[in-house]
Amino acid sequence: MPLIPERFRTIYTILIPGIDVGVMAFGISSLVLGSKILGDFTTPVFLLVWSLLVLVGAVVGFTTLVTLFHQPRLAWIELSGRIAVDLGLAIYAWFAVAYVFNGNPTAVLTLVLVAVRLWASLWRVFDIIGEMVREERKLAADRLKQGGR
Amino acid sequence: MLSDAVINSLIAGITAVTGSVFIYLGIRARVKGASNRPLVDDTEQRDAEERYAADPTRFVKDLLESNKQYATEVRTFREEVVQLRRKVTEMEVRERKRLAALGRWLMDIANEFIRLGGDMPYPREADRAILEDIIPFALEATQPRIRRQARERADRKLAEEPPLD
Repeated sequence: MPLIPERFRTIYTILIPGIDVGVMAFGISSLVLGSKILGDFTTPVFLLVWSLLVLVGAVVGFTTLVTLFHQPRLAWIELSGRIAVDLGLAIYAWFAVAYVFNGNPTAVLTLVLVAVRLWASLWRVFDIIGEMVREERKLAADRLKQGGR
Repeated sequence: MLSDAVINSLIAGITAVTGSVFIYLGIRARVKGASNRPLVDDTEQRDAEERYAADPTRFVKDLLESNKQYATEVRTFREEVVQLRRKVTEMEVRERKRLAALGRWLMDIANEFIRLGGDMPYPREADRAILEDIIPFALEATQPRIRRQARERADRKLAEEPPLD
């Protein structure tokens, strides 16, 4: 991680992988134990697909972050994994809102926690997009230099 | 009609799919659009201007030094160009000589074809040195090494037999 100051490197080694592990646990437990919030509104098939989506997305994001760090050409893999996780969390938050309106005000706690996790995951998504944008600008500068010479 | 659960699932699923399509298109547009803003950090020019504006004598010295360096570089290039030109003319002369020798040989082959019955004559004395690397390959046409040995054996046998009377 050459371009990142020492102080912030633990963001990529500890913070984001930790969030990924948490989301993986979320996916596994929803796969094994089920979810009341989703189960009240959707079919069991949907629950299965959704938890698989979240789990696979978290696994993909985690492994690519840990193994292929800072290869902007392959950043889209991690990006798609994380966007899958974010979509899953957004669906969960949406149905949690419906659950709250169905008369379970304590679900607001779950909603807030999900929103916090969504916020952190979105940060990393925009970070990856920024990496891809920087890489594209660097490639454009190289093309310009070669073309101009 | 479909039950509530199914409807909710369908709505959520379709929203997720269309949402992901738009997300993909949006990210792709942003990344592609970034190639219009290349990463140019060219402060070298500005720093040089600031430095020299503060110190004009240094500017003159640096300019003269740089001119001298350019002059030596140009001189080495000129010498290299002279050598390259000489090499090129030598190559052209060699090629012309070679083609002329080949042409003469071809002419001899065509003229002596009937008289020699298909055999190929050697090139003229003066041309043999120019074409010496081509001659063995060209002569394979009429004097292939294997058949030449067999032919020589046959010739020897014929020479030993008494002539037919």
